[in-house]
Amino acid sequence: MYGDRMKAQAFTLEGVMASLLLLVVLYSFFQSTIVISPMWSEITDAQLKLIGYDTLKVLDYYRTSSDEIYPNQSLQGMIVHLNSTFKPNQDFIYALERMIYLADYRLELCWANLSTNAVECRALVDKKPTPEAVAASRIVVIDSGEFPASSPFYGRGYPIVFEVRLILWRP
Amino acid sequence: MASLIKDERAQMLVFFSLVVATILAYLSVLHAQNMLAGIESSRTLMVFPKEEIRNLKVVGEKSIMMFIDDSYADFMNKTSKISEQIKLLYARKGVYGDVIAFTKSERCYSVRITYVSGEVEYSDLLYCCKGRGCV
Amino acid sequence: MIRKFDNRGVSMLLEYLILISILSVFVFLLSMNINKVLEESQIESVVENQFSDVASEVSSQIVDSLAVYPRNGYLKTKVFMPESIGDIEYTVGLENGSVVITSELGRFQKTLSLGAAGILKLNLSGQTHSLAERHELNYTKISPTYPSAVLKLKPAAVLANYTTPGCFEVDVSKSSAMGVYNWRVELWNGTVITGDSGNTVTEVCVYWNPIEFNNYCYNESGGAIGNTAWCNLTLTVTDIRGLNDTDNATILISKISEVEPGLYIKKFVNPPQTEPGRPVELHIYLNGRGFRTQATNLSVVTVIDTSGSMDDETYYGNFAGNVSPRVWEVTYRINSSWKNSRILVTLSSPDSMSPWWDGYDKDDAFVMDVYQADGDYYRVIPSGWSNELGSANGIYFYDSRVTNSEIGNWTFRAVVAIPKSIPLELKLYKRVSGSWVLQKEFSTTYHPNYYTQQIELPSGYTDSDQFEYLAAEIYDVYKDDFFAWLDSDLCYYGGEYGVCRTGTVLAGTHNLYIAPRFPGAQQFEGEFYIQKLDSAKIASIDFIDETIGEGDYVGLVSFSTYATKHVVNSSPYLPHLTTDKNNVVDEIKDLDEGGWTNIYQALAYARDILLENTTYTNGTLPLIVFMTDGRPTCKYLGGDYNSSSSYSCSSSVCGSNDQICYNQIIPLAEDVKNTTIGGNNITICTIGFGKPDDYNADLLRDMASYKPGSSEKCFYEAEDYQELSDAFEDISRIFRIAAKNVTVRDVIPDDVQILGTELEISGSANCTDVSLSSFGTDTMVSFNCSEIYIDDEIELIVRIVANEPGTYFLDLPFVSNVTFENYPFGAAYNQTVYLDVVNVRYGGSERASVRIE
Repeated sequence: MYGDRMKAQAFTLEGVMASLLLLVVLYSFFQSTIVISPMWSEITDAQLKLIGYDTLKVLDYYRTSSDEIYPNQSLQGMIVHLNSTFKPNQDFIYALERMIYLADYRLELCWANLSTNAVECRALVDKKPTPEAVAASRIVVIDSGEFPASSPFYGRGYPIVFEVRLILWRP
Repeated sequence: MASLIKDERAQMLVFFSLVVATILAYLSVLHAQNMLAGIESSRTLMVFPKEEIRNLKVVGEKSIMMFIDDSYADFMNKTSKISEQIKLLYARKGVYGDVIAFTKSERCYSVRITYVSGEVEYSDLLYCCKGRGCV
Repeated sequence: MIRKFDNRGVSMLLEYLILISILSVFVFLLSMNINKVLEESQIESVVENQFSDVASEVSSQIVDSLAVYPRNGYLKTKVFMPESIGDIEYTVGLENGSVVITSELGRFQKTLSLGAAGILKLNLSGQTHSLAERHELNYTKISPTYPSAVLKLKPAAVLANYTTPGCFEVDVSKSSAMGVYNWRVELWNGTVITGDSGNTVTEVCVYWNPIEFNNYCYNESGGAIGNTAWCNLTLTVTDIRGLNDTDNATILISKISEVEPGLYIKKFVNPPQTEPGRPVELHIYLNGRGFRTQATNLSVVTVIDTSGSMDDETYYGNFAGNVSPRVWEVTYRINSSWKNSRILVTLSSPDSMSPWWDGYDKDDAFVMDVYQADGDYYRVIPSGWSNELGSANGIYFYDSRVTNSEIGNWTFRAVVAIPKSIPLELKLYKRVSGSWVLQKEFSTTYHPNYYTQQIELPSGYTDSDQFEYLAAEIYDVYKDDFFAWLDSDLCYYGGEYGVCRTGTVLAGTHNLYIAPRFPGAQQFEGEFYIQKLDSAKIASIDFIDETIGEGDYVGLVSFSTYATKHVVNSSPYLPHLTTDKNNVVDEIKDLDEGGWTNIYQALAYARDILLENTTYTNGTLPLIVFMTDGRPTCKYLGGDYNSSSSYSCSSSVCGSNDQICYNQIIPLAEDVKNTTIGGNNITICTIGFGKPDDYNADLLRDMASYKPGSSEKCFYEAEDYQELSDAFEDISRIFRIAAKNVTVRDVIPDDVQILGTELEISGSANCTDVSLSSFGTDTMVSFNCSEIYIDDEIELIVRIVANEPGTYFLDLPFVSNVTFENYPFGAAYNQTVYLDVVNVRYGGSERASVRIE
C-alpha cells in the first residue's frame, strides 16, 4: 500500500524533470537558430535570368543612321530576315548559343496585332523548358520599311514592336 | 478516495504536458516567424520589374529617336502605333506599360514612359534630342 | 493504532496538497523565469532577424529604384512587412542615409546604411508604421530645368487708326520648357490669348482707341497719350509640372507714321535655371522699330529708260545638268554569205517626229556608231545630204565590200535626239544582182533620255502678261553635243543649234528640253535671257509695290529720244502723281523701247512732276529713282526744254566721254537736289543697268544724292535682272534705317565656358561676324552692324555652360552695352543702352528624393 502511494510522487517528479529537460533542449535549440534564406535555392535561377537579359542586350543593335544595315547577328537583323517559316538565320543562332553557353533555351517572338488587338507569338526555337526555366525579354522596334517582301511583317506601314523572349534552363 | 489516489499520476502528467505544450506552441510561433526572415528581401529581388522598365526606357530613348527626322505628322503617327503595340504586349503580362511621345521639334521630342503593376508604379518624362541623349 | 497513525504527522491528503503546493510554487516561479529566459531572448533574435529582413527589403527596393532612375518622374513600389514581429509593432523610417526600424516602445532598433547611394544621390525621408494599411516607397526626381518665357513682337511698332487696325505677330516660339508647355499672353487691356508649345505664333490686331490706351498704356515721353501709345504685354509660360516663367514686351501703337525709328533691345537667357553641365543660350535680340526714317509720306518719281538698247538681252537665269543618252544597241552576225557583197545599213523612224523637228531636217536627229567585226569603227553623222535617207527620216551606213576579216559580229549603237518616245528600225540590205535586198530587220520603241528645265516668267508685270521674248543658249563647249527645245520649238537661232529666242511669250512656266545627240554626251550648261525692258518692268513694279504705302505719291517718266510724263491721275490738279500705285504699274506694263537716250529732259520732267502741285506734295519726302542702260546721246540745245526741237540726238553728239552732256546734266541735277518741297530736299537715286561700259557711271554717280545719314552715293550698278531688283530693293530701304553703326558688346565671366556663338539676321541688316576677345580674365563677345533697317531682326546667341552650381551673372555693368547712332544719325545722336543684367542659375545638388509612407 505504502509503495503504491510513493509511486505517484515518483511519477510527478519524473514529469517535472522531463518538462525541465524539454525546456532546456528547446532553449538551446532556439538560441542557436540560423536564418536560412529561401533564396539560396533560387540564386542560380537569378544568375541565368541575368545571362538571358545580358545576351538580349548584347544582340540588340542601335543604329546611328537609317542608312546602316542591321547585321545578321542582331535581334533586328534576325527579325527582318524572318520568312514565313519563322526560322532565325544561322549567324544569329551561332552568336546566341555562344553567349548562353551550357544553358538550354527556347526563343519566342511576340508582336501585337493592331487589327485584332491581340498579341501573337511564335516560337523561333521550339524546345520544351523544364519547370526551373527562367525567362528574359527585350523590346525591339523596327520600322516597316526595313522588311523585305518575303517577310511576314512586310507592308504594315507603321513601326512594329517586337518582344523577344528568351527562356533558359540548366539541362 | 482510494480510487482517486490510484489515478493521481495521470493528472500530473496531463498538468505538466499542458504547461509544456503551451510554451512549445508559443515558441513555435516565434520559430515560424524566424524561418520567414529573409523572405521579404529576396522576394523583392525576384519580383522587382527592373528589366521590364528598362526595356520601356530603351524604346523611349533609342527606338523613337529613329524617327526624329520624319515629319511631325509621320512621327506622331508612328510613335502612337508603337504606344498601342507596347500597351498590348505589356497587357499580356498583366501590367500596364506605355511609351508615348507627345511633342516634337526639329531635333527633340518629349516622351512619357509609364509602367504600372500591382506592386510598382513608374512614370517618367524624358526630353530627348538627336545627338544629345535624353534628360 | 492512533500512535501508528500519528507517525505520518499529516494526513496523506494534506501531505499531497503540501507537496503539490510547493511544486506549484516552484513550477510557477520556474515558468515565470522560463518565460523571461525563453521568450525574451527568442523575441530578441526574431526581431533582429526580421528587422534585418524588412530593412534589406527597403534598401534593395531603393537600390532597384536607382537602377531604373526616373529622370523626371516617379517610381512607387509597395513594401511588404509583417504587422508585428514577435507581438511587437514597429516603424520603418528613412533618415541619415539609412533605413531605421524601431520597435514601438523603442526597445529594439535596427539601422541599415544605404552606403554611398543613400548619401550622394538621394534625399531620404518619411516613415511608416507596421500597422498601416499599405506601405509604399516613393522615389521622385524632378529635372531642375525651368521653363523660360520669351515674348517677341513683330513688328514692334504698328500703325493703327479708327477704321484700319494695326496688326502684329505675338511670337512665343523662343520660349522653352522641359517638354510641352502652355502659354498665356495678357494684353494691356486684360485680353488673354492662350496656346501651347505646338502653336507659338498668333496675330493680334488693334484699332486706335484713345480711351483704352489712356487707361492701360503709357506715353514714353510722359503725359497723356497723343498719337502714339506704348502698351505692355505679359507672357506666362507654364510647363506640365506647373512651374512658370514670365516675360514682358511693349508694342508701340501709333496713328501717324511720324514716329522716330529706334532700336528695340532685349537680352535673355534660355533656360534661366538648369543643372550643372547643361548648356544654356544667352540671347541678345535687336529689332529695328518704327515706320520710316523721315517723318512723312514719300513722293516718288520713277524714271525708266526706254531707249533702243533696252531691247537687248539680259541674263535671267541659268541651267546646268547631266544626261546620259539612251543607246539602242543591235548586234548582228555578218556571215560568209556577205563576203565581197555591198552592204547598206539604215537607221530610221516611221514616226513624223512632230512637233519637235517640224520645219527642220529630221535626219539630223539620228546618229549611229558601227563596229565591224575586224575592229573598225565608224560614226554616222548626217550633215547636209550625206548619210541621210531621202525616203524616210533616218540615216544610212554603206560599205562597198565586206572583206573576209569583216565577217563576224557587227554592232550598231544608235542615238536619236528627241524628247519623246518613237519607233526605230534598223535594216540590213545586201546588193544582189543590181538591187538592194533586205536581209535583216530590227525594230524597237526608243525611249530617249532628256533633261527638262523649267523657266518661270512672272505674271502681272507686262502688258497682257506678254514678254517680248525669252532666249536660251547652251554654252559653246556643249552646243554640238545636244539639241534643245524651248517649249516645243527646236533651238536654232542665228544659224546655230542650241540657241533659241522666242517671239512674244506669255508669262508662266516654260520648258527647256535638252536631248543628247551622241552616245557619250553628258554634261551641259547654259543661260536664259529676257529683254532688258521686261526685266526693268519687273524690278520697278516690285519696287513700287514694296515702297509705296498708303498716302505716298508715285509718278512715272519714261524716256528715249524724248521724255514722257505719264498721266496717272484723273485729277487736273495733279495729273502725273497718284496715291493709286496700280495706275503707275499699268503705265509701266505698257512701256515700249526704241530711240536715243535723253537724260536731260527726263530729269527735268521728273523734277517738274514733283513740283507740279506742291499743295499736295508739301511735307512729303521727294525722291527720284532714275534708271538708265545707256550713255546720254541727246544734247540740250537751249530754249524750252519741253520742246522736241531743243534737242539734238546722235551717238556722238555728247562728245568724248559724254563730256558735253555731262556738263549740262550735272548742273541740272545739282539744281534738282537743291530744290526743296516743304523743307525736304529732292533725293536722286540712280541705277546703271547693263554692262559697265554701256552707261556712264561717273555721270550717274554725280547725279545721285547721298544716302540719308551717309557719305555714300545713292547710285547702283546692275548687270542683270537680279542685280537690278536688288538695287531697287535697296533704294526702297534707304528711308527705313532704324539705327546706324550699331555695336553690341557683352562680357561673359570666366567661370562660364563659351561653347559657341551664332548670329541670326532676318532682314537686310549689314553686320560683321561675332568676335571673341579677352577682357581681363573674362571674354568679350561683340559684333557690329553698319545699318539696321526697320523690322530687321538680329539675334546673337552665345551657348555657354557652367559645371559648378551657383548663380552666374552674364554681363559686366556698364561694359555690356549696345551703342548706336539714333535717328537722324551722326555722331551727335550716339546712344548707349546698357544691357539688362541677366543671370543663369545652375541648381546645386538637385537630388532625387525617396520617401517611405
